[in-house]
Amino acid sequence: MNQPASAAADGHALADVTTIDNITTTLPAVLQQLEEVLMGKREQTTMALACLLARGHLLIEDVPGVGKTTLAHALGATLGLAWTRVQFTSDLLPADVVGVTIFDSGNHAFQFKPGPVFTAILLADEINRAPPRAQSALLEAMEERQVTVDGVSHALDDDFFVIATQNPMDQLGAFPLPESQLDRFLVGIEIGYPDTATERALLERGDQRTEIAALEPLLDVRQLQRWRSQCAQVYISPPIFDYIQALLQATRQSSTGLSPRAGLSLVRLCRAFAFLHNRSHVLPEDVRDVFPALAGHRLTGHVSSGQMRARELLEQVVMP
Amino acid sequence: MKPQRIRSLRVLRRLLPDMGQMPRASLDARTLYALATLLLLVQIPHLLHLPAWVSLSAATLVGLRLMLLRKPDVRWLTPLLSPISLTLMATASAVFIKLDFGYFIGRDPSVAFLYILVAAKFAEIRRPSDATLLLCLAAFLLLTQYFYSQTILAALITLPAVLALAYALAILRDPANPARTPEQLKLAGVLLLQGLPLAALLFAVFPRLPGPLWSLPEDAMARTGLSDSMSPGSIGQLSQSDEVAFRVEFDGPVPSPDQRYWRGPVLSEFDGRHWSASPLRLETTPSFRGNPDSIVDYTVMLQPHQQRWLFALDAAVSLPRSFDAAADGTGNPAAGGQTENGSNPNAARRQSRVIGRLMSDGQMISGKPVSQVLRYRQSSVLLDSIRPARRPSDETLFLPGRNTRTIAFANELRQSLDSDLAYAQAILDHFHREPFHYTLRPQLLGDTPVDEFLFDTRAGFCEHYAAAFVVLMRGAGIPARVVTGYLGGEMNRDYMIVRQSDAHAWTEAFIEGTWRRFDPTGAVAPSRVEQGLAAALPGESFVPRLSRRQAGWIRDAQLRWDALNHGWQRLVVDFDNDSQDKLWDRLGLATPALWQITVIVLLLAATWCAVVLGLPGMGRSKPPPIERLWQRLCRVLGTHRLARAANESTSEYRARACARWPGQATRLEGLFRDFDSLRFQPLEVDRQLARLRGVRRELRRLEWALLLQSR
Amino acid sequence: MTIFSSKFRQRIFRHRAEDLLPHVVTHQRVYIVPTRRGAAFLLSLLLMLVAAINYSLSLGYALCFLLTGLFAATLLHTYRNLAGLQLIGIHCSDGFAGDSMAVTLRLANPAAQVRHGIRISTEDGITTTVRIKAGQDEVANLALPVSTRGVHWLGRLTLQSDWPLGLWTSWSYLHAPVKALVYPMPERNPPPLPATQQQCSGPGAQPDRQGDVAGLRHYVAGDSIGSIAWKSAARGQGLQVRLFDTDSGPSQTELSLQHTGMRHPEEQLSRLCAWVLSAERSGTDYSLQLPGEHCTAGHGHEQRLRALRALALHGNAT
Repeated sequence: MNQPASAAADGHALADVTTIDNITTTLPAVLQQLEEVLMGKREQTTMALACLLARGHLLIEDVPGVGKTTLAHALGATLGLAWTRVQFTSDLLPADVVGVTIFDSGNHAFQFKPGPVFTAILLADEINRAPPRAQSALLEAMEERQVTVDGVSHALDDDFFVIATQNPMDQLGAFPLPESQLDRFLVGIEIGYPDTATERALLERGDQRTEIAALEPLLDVRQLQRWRSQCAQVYISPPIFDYIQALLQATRQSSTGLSPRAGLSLVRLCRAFAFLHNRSHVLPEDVRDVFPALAGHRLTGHVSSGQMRARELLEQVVMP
Repeated sequence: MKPQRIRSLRVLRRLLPDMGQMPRASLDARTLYALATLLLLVQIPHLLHLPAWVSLSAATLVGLRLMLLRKPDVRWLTPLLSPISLTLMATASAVFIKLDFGYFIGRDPSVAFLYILVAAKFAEIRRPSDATLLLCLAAFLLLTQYFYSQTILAALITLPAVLALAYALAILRDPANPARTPEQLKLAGVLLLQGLPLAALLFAVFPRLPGPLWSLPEDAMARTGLSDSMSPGSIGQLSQSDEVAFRVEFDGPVPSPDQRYWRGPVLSEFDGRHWSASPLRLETTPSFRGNPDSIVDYTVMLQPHQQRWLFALDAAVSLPRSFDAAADGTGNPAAGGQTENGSNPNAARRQSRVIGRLMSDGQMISGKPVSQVLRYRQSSVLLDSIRPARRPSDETLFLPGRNTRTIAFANELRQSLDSDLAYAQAILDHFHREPFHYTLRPQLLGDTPVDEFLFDTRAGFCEHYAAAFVVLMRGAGIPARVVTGYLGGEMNRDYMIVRQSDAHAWTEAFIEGTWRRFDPTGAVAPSRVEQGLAAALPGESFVPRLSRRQAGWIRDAQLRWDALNHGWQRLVVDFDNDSQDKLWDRLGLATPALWQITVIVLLLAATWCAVVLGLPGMGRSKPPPIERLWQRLCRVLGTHRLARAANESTSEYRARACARWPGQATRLEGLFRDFDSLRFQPLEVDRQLARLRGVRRELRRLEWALLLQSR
Repeated sequence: MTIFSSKFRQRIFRHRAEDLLPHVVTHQRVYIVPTRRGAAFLLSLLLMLVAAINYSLSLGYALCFLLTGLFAATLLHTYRNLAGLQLIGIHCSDGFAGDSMAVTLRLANPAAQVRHGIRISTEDGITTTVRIKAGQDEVANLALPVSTRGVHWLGRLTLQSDWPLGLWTSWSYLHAPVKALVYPMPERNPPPLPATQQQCSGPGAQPDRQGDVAGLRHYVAGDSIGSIAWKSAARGQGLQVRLFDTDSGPSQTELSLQHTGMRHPEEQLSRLCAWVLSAERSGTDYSLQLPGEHCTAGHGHEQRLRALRALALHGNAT
């Protein structure tokens, strides 16, 4: 992993593109702030940010207590976005997610009462505990960025971004997400335990939840959208496309290979990742670094084993 | 040492994977039918010359094997077709062949034996390796049919057999292949067609090694044709053959039929029954003093007869010369141009060379037996007398004391006449006047054949008359000899065909200092001389078909066919080193040396490969230049023990390289940066080119620097 | 010198796994020699040529060269059948020792001709044959028997073809860095899972027998002596063990080498493997305790993979 946004080691990296404004100052600040909150997890925060920039959704597979909520909270606070948390349970109904239409006796009219999805960042905790109907209501909202209740469509926030978590262990009464639905998550990551030094620092510093509320938003919505449009212009050269294609083809041996949609997602994610590294073009290592996060949950249905498999694949495919 | 050897053995074994021929218990029906078809097609051309029992027994064996395939439960078939019984059968057939042919070591019995062997192999075929052997034997058997005939027909009949061979190979490779027969046949056909250009190239340029590599078996020489001895009946037998003896192309007008005496072996020695050539002959030079307009120039294409003599019209005034383009009277402009300006350094070498000698008895001898078609230039003057340089030797007078009645008759007749010439004429008159009979089927003669013929049977063929005439002359003290050769020849379009049926014997007598030609047959049957054998023997069914006079359109068609065959003969069958020279000549090239030919063949073969494989490069696209330069950089660093690890990014690799060679860090940094921008960044074309040049230069410098550092 | 020879050997024999995807069988990598049948054919061609020379048979030359042309054309076809072939995917699935692992190769044919009879074989001689249509992909499957647990490298593959006439055989080596995990062979009739943690706290502890006896099964080495049904043994029915009807529902069990009651390490692993599988079947949470490796309790796909992986790699450096 080379350092993201490291003060443009290759002098030409940004000089070629004049359209990227204030990124040289804002981007490192954003990453810095996120890392301060989620200590020692720069890789994960970068990936989460890339996922957000690429208009995808994030799946975190890990045991409780490693900082999923903190990540969602910090992202929302730093980017100046609203965030909501929904704890998925086995008795969760679709209406609890998307909202309900109720009869307003005062106005004598039906009124739509929006659910928690009407926010910018939604943390869906333990998504595999909810019954499939509730799951699919959320997944549809994620895919189409709108919800339809009683025949009326309601558009969601343009920056709608879901961070879903699931426990890696199958437990009784759990409904693991089907592999077809997993495709809707752009990135699947594990957060993992902090290393010894970080954990020591963490312990000494104590719980920082209260500090998160005090975080300064470094970005506004307009800027985020500009960044997204700039991401789309990041250049990918033919050898990189060859590499991406070879990777996709290499996955298609086992029962679940990557779909063309996953391929498009990979391209989007690579662009966002390169953008976060302050580059206007994608390098092979961008593909290499994002590939396990993108392919892991799609390959085996589980992030950890899938990423292992994805790394094996990377070793088999020639890198440009 | 020992483990080393074992390892190298293992290496060798790993180098060659197993050849993919799984042993199978038995061959399946599809393979067997494919092989049977091949055998059928290979054996058909041989039916013409093989004894009937050979073809029949071979066919029976093939049929039995197919029957076993159809009805595997027929109890008596399996032991019959077991290897032991088939070996016995093959041995028995060898014995029968020896009995039938009279000998075993020879071409024809070998072919017959091979023929049976192939069928027996088919009958006991078990494994794919048996099939391999069978295919190879069949291919060889296919070739042996050319011992007997090399006509267009023989060539055409080979094609389906070759196709069947390729088809059988395709089936044998994978009998379980679901591809259907037409598909497989198409594949075989495509392969053959693709191989055709290479085959044609090899045929055109492969040097034709002259003559046999070892002495041929006796029967291979037993061609129909004249021999150097004559006994009653020998020429008569020869006359029953349609085979072409030689073909002639005349530069000028064609001589009239009664002047077409093609001189062959001259037989002077006589033992009372057999005539043979004299062993004591001297070489002489042809000479002619007279009107040069009377010289006839012509080209002879002599079929191989495995003997040394050549044929020329009586009387030859030149030595036979090899045929070449420069001497080609038909006026090849390219050839003509070359001889004129003489710029071709090859022209001198290409001067026609003398290929034979003229002997004192007027016979022409070539240096070695004619084993392939020989084409030579020859000039003659149509004379019926030769003036020799010296007196004839005594043997032309010698008579063994057998034919006493004849000698008595000769003495009596000579005494009544005043000159030798009158005497000769009187004998001819005698043949004409007395009831002598011209026939192909004379009665057999006893110990004194001339006596019996002259006074008892009075029926005979040309050799009888010639022999009788010479004995009569010698009996009167006049030197005389038998001349064999051909009389006649038939024009077919622009060339003349002389067949074995035109074989003839006539005589020469030494009268008044010259050898004069007398043809006693003409006295008996003048039409033989004027019109040929068929006219002289109207009633005899032994006359070969093509020599007969009537039969309009059939004959016409046959002559057309011969013209086609003549073209085939000239272009394909007679293709030899001379033809190759001529071919180079046509192309305007000097005849190349062997190494040059090899180079040309290799170049053309490479072109052929490219065309067959399909240009360009079989979908293999070259990477762009920058990628090739990048690979070169990786290779260069790799040779200095810094190979790029799998999955190593360019920046990681750069960092390692810089740490390894700090002195080159700046250059490496710049190179890697340029590579990254050229490979992964959008750049305008002109900037790209400029940087590409820079990269190339820097890379070269880096290579040198690293090389110097490593020293 | 050694570098050179090692490079040379690698170039020819591909003894190191260096072929990365997408792999193209380039012309430098295709070897071609006549088959035994091809050699015999060549020999008979030579004999035919000698006969043609000896007897001055022009048509003999022609026939001989026609067959030579056929032979050469076959060479090109055999070569083309393999050259340019692409391997775009290769996968080796994990499996149990004594079983076989499934190797899947995806081969692509970018050329306009069908590729016939491509034989793919491993170093152990496992072979499969594929035919790849023009411009299409084809999947080849190989079942590779594996006997020992651990990391199993696929090794060098040989792609070979003798199409069309079997006169030539062309081959190319392919050594991709593909590996699979081979789990220990699960024991065939394993004893039941060790009981929950507190019941099994010490070796030799008497299992708690609150449940009713649910049935008997044959004794397996390692079963507790206390659970043997001595009565039935006395009746001459052989050694049998009583099965108890323990509480249904999720329970937790701890698996470790000590609990197997076996001596031989491989047998221990084999039994643990069988236990992991049976725990997964029954939905029991389990933890796995191996020297230097600890899997926390749980069950499910991930847990199973983690446990099996630990078993497969136990004691191995990699």
